Amino acid sequence: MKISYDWIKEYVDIRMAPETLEEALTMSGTEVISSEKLGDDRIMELEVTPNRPDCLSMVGMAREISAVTGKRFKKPTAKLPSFKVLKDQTPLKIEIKDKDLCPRYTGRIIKGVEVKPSPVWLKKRIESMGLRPVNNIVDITNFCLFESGQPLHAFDYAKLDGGRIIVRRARKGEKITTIDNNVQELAASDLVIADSARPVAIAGVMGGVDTEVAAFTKTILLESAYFAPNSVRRTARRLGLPSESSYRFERSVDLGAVLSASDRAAALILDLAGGELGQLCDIGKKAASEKKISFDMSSVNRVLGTDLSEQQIKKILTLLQFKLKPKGKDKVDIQIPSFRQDLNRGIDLIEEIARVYGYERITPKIPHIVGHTDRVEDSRKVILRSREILASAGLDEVITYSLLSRAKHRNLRLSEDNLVALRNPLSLEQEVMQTSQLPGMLDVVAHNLNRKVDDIEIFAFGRSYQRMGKKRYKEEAILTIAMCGNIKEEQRGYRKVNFFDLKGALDLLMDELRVPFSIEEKRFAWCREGLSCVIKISEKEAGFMGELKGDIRGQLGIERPVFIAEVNFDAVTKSAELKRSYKEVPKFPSILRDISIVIDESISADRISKTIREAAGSLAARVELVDIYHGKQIPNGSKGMTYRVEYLDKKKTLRDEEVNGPHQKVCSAITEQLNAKIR
Amino acid sequence: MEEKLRQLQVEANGAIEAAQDVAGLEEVRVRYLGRKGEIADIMGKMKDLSNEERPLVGKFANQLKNEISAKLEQRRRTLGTGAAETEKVDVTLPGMQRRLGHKHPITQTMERINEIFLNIGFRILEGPEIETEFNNFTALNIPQDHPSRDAFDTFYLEDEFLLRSHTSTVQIRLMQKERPPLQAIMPGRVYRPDATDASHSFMFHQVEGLMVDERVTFADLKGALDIFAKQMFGTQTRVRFRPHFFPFTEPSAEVDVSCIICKGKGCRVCGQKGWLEILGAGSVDPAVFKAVGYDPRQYTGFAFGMGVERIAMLIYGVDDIRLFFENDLRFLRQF
Repeated sequence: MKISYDWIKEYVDIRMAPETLEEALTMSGTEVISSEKLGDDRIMELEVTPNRPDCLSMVGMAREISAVTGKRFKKPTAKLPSFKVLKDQTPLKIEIKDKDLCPRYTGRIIKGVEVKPSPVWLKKRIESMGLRPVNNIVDITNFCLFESGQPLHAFDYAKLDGGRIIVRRARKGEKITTIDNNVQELAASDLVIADSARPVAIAGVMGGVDTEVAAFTKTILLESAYFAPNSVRRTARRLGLPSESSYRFERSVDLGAVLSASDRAAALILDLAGGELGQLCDIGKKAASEKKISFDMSSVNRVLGTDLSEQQIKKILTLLQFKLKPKGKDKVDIQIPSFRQDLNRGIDLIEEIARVYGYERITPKIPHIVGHTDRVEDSRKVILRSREILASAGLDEVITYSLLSRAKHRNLRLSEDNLVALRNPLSLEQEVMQTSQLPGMLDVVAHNLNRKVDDIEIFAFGRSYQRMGKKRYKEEAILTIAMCGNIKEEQRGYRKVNFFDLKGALDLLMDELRVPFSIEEKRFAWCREGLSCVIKISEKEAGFMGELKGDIRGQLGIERPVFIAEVNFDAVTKSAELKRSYKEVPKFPSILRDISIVIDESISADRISKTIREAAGSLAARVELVDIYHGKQIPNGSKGMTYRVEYLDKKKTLRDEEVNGPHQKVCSAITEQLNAKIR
Repeated sequence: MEEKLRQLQVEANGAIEAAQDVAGLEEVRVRYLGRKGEIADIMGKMKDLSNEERPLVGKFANQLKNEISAKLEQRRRTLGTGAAETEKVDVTLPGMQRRLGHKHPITQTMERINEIFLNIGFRILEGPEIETEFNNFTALNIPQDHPSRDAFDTFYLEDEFLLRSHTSTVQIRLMQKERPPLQAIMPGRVYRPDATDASHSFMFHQVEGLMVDERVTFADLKGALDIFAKQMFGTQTRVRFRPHFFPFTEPSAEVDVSCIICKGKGCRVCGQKGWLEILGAGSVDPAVFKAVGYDPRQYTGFAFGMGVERIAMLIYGVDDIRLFFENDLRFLRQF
């Protein structure tokens, strides 16, 4: 909201530099967002908080300035000529059909006005608020809106069908052309001002063009009313018609000041446009009931941590124009003026006191911390550690949106059974919640490939969201990894990333977290045949790993193989062990034995190493694949492999002879059970 | 003859020291220890010695042989291995690849914030993103007809559930489960239907905090956030509390820190004001305590909240929030 420094000086005795005032306002809760010179005036843009509709005017801000600076407040008064209600009664019938949306409506007839340009002083005020002067009648209604905060509207009375005003909800399909010459289609929830035939204004939002005051208007109907904040807000927002008027109604005007604003405008109209006062109709609730708060002054220091005296507290309350009635020790009854609808409880008054006293004057204290023994949840610790591990392994963390389009979800052939859908999505791009981070990750892959960034190894921690039934939702932590493109190899170039880069990263992570982890072949709709695995944690299915199906990545415009894995991280957390305890480092030297074999291609590495481990017995500390090769010496359909077995006795130095036995067993197991040849 | 051996000892030591490379050293070896070398020559002449002299000289000659041998070996180690020593290396070739991945800048910022509050005794709590109206609004003293409940400002699901628009929901969950004293922060994702532009995103991250006990005051809030601001932005940082309005706190404040770019002198980032708004805060409104079954006469508390993206943008000088979610690796690898 704007205020004019020159204008506001009419209502409060301030003689301070604008900068000083700006600082005082900002530090008492009305932030000055900007301040600009306009001729010899200064226009300040204020951010008035939603609880202070009483500040949305020159008079309201003058009152506020008076409270925070201690300077005297001067209220403007309307000098209405003593009521000479005209003999020839112009019939004025006002009816409120929807009292819930309009508790009070006043209409007043002014006859014989002369519509003409406003005088210079009025034009200047209107222009200082960033509006263009229209004519004296319209300018006066705007002037009063800015001065008092009560929006007013003037109708050309002659154009009101039947000379009637009906305040009612719009009928479905009703239309109105507003003064900006746009046709607005009304909804049944919109409140309108209608004559006997049609809506003539959207209540509190904008008037209709048919009944606007124009050059030949002779008789006007001046409206001043209270419209319910929510109704005005919804209508203005739905129609995209924010106005100075709706801005104030939606924050609530002062029900008790509806008529005085009308008086003030009427007096100005008589003064500047001539004419005579006609009938006044004031229907509905007259004023909000007066409020009284019993206030315990000792609560001020208890909440604020200050050391304010009763004297200081009372002084501040008086500055705020509250009437105090002492009620024994520490207690005081406080009468709240009608313009402060936001104050209802003692705590509200404490805020007022703190605000006027100055937050800056409250001395900071170090809070007394009790301290908790376990301050980070286990699930969080595991995720924190995992981020470190994955980043150390060269993977970059990404954060993807948890909302996505149904189409993207569908493209990946993910199940739609428990999909969580938004009732009011911003766009179809963010219509449902993810059950997997795969779509988001693939967007990242595509985005980077398109920009020639092709060394992609990324991970993301997020959640999957599912609707499990009525009022039952499930959120689970998930970790997703994607790899695509090239990996820089040592010094001289690149090699293509492959499935085992992905598996290696997961192996490393699970190993560090001490999570029992294995994979088995299993089909997933989004993985290509032959490279599609289920991830098992403690023997339970907990995710998938594989290569993205070619047609899916084709649709996404990704031209290179993408390797993907996703694991339920709640399952990981449950099995993870971050605690470490010392195990003795072997004191005696071990013996290494290599075994090179030629074996059928179809026999899995997993099976071979299991066979070796079982045959080698308790002395085998480690079984490791050290080489795998194909070539001229190896027949087609076979592979050459070299395994290394480390034999170790914790209690003594092993002798070669002691290893011969177990190692012989390894050789026979491999040749007999797996039909391999020793090379 | 003994005299001759002593002379050889001095000469040999000098020659070993003087040798500049392995080849030179080999020459020394051949000259003294070779089959036709000096020591062999003396050994050959020993048959002319008397029976008394022979064993003494023989012993000495053997000692000297061993000594020269040892010295030669020692010298050879310090001289290195010849050709490899002089091999020229192009040191401007790139180093062997050791790639470190990067945590997302939002994660890093959030961890920094969390760390500070952890160190002053707060604990970290998380909660669901799909929430009830009660936890997101009602318990926080946000009236039924408040604009923030509009479909314009909150994402709704079926069954009156919604996507939390702030992590205050975790405060409510905590207070419903435990009794004071409490001090916790709640980091997490939140959602608001804002059209995406350089400074708005429909999904972003928040860290909120809550402290409740008997006699927790607004002065304590100022103290806690003062510590936070100085640790986050530097010890020279000044903090300013401006009165504001939030339904769930009373008194409420917006908290500014002196601009981290211009140190308060005024620049483009702070709009020439010298201050940056980074937090909303206040004393917990008694209505919130009532909603969770605490007695507001017994307990007081404070709460605060901040947007992680905003702080990350300030710290790193990022001018478009969308960069955080676009995940261009050329961006992410800068942090």
